[in-house]
Amino acid sequence: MADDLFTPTIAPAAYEVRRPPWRPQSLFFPAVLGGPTAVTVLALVNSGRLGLPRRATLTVLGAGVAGLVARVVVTLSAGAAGTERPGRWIGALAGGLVWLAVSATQKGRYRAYELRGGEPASLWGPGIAAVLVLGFAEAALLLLLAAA
Amino acid sequence: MSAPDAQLSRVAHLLELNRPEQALDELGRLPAGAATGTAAFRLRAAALTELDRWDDVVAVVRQGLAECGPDAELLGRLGLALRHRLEYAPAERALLDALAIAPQSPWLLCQYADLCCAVGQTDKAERLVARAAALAPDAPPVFSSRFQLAYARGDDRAAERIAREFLGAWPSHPVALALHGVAASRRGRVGTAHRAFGQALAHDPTDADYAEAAWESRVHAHPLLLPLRPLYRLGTFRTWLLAVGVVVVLNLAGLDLLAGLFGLCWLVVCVWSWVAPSVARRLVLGRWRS
Repeated sequence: MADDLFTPTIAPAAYEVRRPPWRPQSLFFPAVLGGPTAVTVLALVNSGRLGLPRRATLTVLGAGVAGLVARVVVTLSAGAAGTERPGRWIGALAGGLVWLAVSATQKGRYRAYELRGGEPASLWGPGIAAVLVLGFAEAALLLLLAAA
Repeated sequence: MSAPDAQLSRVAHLLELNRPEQALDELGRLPAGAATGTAAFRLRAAALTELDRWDDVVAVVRQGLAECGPDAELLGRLGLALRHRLEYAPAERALLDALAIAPQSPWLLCQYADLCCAVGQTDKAERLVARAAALAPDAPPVFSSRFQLAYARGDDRAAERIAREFLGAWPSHPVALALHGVAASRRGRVGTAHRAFGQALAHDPTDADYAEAAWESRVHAHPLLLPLRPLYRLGTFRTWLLAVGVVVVLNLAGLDLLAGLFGLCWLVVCVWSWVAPSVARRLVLGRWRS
């Protein structure tokens, strides 16, 4: 029967066991607490674990870079205008926006992983480490740029 | 009707009543000739499927195929069992062999669609479900596969709508009730989910997944988690956006103390959302659950 719908398309590579991914929804917390760099780095690691195609990984990277640039520009502009208080929340907002892109690209693949009975990996350790290391690195970068 | 035929009818009836263990007992009493017929193998595989005994399903189906020759239903069961054993490529082979015999079977098309969803091939799954829906739009496997496809695509609204349609067409079908529970749970409707899973379990007490879901929904309906219901209902992103927005507005208005207090309250809610489910689990079960 010549029906392309009944042609085998499932290769073992489509479901080979990798390290368990993190739940994309959980990446929201490091995104808000650590900013765009923290969520981007975690999301890129998660892309590898989910076996996302190159295009989706590049989308995450692009969103992360755009989020970081936007955060720097808006924070420096707000600082120049003398409105310092909202600046503390700009990082959280930028991280949240990057997370939206991460969620859009990773949700479907994670759901497929769930349908295969997969359990998510714990994000506690990597999440806290990303918030502390990358969040502070981002803050240091902002201080350096503000001082320059 | 001969005695073995009557026995097989009784087994089929027991399966309809969700009594797979009794069905297996009845099949064990079949005379040797009837026990090795295609119908007996189909019923045995169906009963073992109900009990989620996937290794046994594979063994029985392979024996049936060896003794009776190719059969679409047995091959479909083999595909289902192999999928549950995470052997996706062999499962696809079995389903394609089944579809070569019965290309117009909605159940087989849906099985294949579910398999495609599990490996992330949602476009192919959509075409398979569309074909099944064209053949039997109101069949339970079609509703179930449509739900699974929407879920795999992350479209929770569509999944909820399909669950409602399914429940409308089959109000007492355990799968319809369970999917309604899943959809309600995803949207933070804790009470609805709890009721739906409870009803699904009442209709099919042998299903371990329904039992687990009913238990989990009982935890989420615990009064300790009452303060978290708006969070479940709105979702993490929207709740955080709201909280951050309120703090920013209060800050901009110069109400620092109020902003600080609100931030502190928000922190308490966040910590509660991490701790309370475990506490509720302990209270519901009486011990920490592994």
